[in-house]
Amino acid sequence: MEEKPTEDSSIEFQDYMDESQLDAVMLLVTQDLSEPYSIFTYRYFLHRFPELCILAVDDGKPIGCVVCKIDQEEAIQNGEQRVMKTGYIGMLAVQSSYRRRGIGKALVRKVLERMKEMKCESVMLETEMSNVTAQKLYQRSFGFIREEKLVRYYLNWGDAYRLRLWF
Amino acid sequence: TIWTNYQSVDDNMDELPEEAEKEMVDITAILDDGAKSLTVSNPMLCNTERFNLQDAMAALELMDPKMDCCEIPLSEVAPFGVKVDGDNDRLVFPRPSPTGLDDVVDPLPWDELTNLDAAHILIENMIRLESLLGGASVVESTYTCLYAHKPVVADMKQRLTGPASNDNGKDKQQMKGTLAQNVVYASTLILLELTDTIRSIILNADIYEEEDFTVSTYSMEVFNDRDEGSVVNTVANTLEYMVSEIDDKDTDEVDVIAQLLKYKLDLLAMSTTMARLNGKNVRQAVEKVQSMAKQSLQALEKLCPTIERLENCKPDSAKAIIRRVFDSHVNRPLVGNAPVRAIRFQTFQDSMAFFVKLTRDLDWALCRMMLKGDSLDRIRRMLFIISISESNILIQSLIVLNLYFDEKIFGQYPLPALITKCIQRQFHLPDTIFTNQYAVAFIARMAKPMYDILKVMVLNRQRQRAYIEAVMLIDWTTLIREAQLVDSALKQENPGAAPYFTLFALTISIFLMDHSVALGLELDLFCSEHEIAVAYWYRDYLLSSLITQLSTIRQLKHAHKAAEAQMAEAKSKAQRGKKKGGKHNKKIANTAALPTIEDIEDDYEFLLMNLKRGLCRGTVRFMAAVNQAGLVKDIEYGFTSKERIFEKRFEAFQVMPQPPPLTYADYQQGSDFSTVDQNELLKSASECFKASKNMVDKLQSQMKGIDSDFVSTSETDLRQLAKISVGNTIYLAKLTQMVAQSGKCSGGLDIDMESSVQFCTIKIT
Repeated sequence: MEEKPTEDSSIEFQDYMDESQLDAVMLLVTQDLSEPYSIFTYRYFLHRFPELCILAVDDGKPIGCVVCKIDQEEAIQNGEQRVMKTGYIGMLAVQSSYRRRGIGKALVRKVLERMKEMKCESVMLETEMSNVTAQKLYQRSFGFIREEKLVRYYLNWGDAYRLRLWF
Repeated sequence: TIWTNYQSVDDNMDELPEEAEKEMVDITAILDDGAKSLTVSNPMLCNTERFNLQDAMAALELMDPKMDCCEIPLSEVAPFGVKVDGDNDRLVFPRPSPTGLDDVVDPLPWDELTNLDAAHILIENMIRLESLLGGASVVESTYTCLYAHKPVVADMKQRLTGPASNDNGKDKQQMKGTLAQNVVYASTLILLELTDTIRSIILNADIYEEEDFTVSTYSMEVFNDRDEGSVVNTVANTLEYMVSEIDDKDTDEVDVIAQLLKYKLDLLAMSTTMARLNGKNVRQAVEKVQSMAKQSLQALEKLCPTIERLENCKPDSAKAIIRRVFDSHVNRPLVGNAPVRAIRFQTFQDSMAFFVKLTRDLDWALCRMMLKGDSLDRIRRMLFIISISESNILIQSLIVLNLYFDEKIFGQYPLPALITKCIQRQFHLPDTIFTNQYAVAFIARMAKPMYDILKVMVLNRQRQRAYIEAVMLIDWTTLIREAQLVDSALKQENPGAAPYFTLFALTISIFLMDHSVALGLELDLFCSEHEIAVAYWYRDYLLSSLITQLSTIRQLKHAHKAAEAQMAEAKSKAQRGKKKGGKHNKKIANTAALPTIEDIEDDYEFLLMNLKRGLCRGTVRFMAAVNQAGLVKDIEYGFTSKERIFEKRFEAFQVMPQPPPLTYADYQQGSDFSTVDQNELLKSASECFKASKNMVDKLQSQMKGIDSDFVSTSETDLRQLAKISVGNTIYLAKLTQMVAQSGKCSGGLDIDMESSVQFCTIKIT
């Protein structure tokens, strides 16, 4: 499905189609990721949840992407245990020359809409404590809250925040 | 040498030995056929019902250099002095584990070892030990020392152990080899023994989390032909050997060798003693460990400049030896194929600073608490301060192991007795209340939850919050209900009885709720101006509830004391007719009215709580003033709302009967100062901070008359809170000026939590 964005008219948003786009997704994400993912990790997300991978495309060339999944999560509410659907944003990347144009924000907005349609009660992600840009995006633009501090979470011993958005 | 092997590996890659050629099977065609069956729309080669994210992340690509072959950059294994950079820095296999001192790939330095080399190896071992205590696995810390590998230790033992002789009743090994060799051997043995002891303590306490400690040993083969006694003997013998061998003992390397070996012996002794206390020898053993800790700390602090000098003048020969005998990647193939944590080692300065803190905490956090903590309130406050100090997992584990053993707190105080004493003292109650069957049963019932209150303080700060909200609040909700039943039964027997147990349980549970919110502020979980305002508003509410409950308790105590004094006075009057005993009874009546030392500590804590409430209230009003002045943008979210966020933030409090859980509407009402004149609001906020500053001054002066071990604050904390009170007063004055000039202001806001972990300065920019 193709959509024209409102923020930047040259950029289109497309759903992930198939393996032919895998290399492009991997290239985009690897540039920014602090920790390495194997191809199998990408395939896990993209084959299990293709509807939750959205690409931002400029003239047919992917320049940004968001890759997500949905989990069943056990939660305790009012002293009782229950299961709820939780979205998870695994990767968000925009090519450096296309940044500061609202593309990342648009990608996140689209995938949140989709997760809401799929009956998720909340959406979560982890982000490095030092990644102030990401935190600003999720917290200020969408209302994600910092749920937990994860000490020495990353392979580089860096700390992280677990962020969560409650629909 | 191994370096020569690395350099020639590229040249030899295409030349396989004939035997190897015969054993290999070409499966290219099979893989080709398999790949041809895949399509872009159906790329999966295998179907399985369950394949989760963890499976995906652990799966590896065959022949992947990093994940499958565990290859590392050549620059990581180049010898000292050899530079490898740019295109030359290819990936190579890590060196294999050494097979002995005369390892085929790269023999370990042995005959050429000097005392200076041995000293540097000892320092490097401390860095590896620090890494273990910092959360690295054994294979990425201790066993990066090649001397620590099993065949090498066995080899050293065989070369250095002479026949035993009996010297004045003590078994003594004849010393063989050079002093440097013996130092390396002794240092390695004690490193292995400390590794095992530390692991054992941490595993037994079972409070570690993945950020503290790596459980897996990755099947590392360990030299087990040793025990604590033999290791201690070996190190002691080496120290004696050094005394006999060295003419000039006044050199830096001799000092470092002697002091570091002695420190490791002491650390082993202190750890094993504290891990093995029994009820019969608690105080004696702990006093001994405390004394040892103080002496070790002194010696270590004195040694640090010597180590600095030695390291700064490290000759190239020693650097080359260190490079050869410590290999961070030698065990990489054991760790497996999933991406591994970066191996990291601190500098020698940071490692030594770590051990200085560790030793200080052994004395201050562990021994001092066990020797001085003799009441529930005192132990709780000491643990509160220890929790803030961020002790190492070893110290935390030793605290938990000794918190409750032989059915007593610290092996000394039965917990039901401590609880009884605490309640009795708080309300000034007679013994008779605690002989009631319901009271006795309830106090026994409270033992485990009270133990949890103490234990939760030993967990990592970021874990405490989760445990309180998921487990403890639910426990205490039940306890409050049970306490109400007990008080009801007691009232039936004695109509004048107040709800003592309910009040006690309530104060504990409200403390937990406040602690949970305070931790959220400390961990920076409240990330927007709005959320911070909400957090302080809720804290104000909780602290006000707590102060109300404590005020009731204090009033009851005062009433009981007054009644007791009245009775004693009446008795004294009656007896004043007889000369004997009259003055004595009057003295009893007067003494009953005097506050005890613990009463004074309670008063201090009560004032501290009022200070915290004042700071929270001032912050809420300051934030309201800032909103009124238009300095904060109101944000509306598309997918959530502030109400929803509030509901989720404080969801855990929904189970509590008291204080009643609040809603976002309560917050809106409680923080709505729209009908208040702007200047009045600014003035009110300023008054809160001025009053807080006065309370800080009072607390600082009162601290001089109290044992600072028994209050949940410190001189440093109080100075920080004074700074915040003053800082906020100044910025309020700035805002008042801005408002006076223009009503609605333009400018920014910076919420600064640098000065204090739980309170902030609101800077107007």
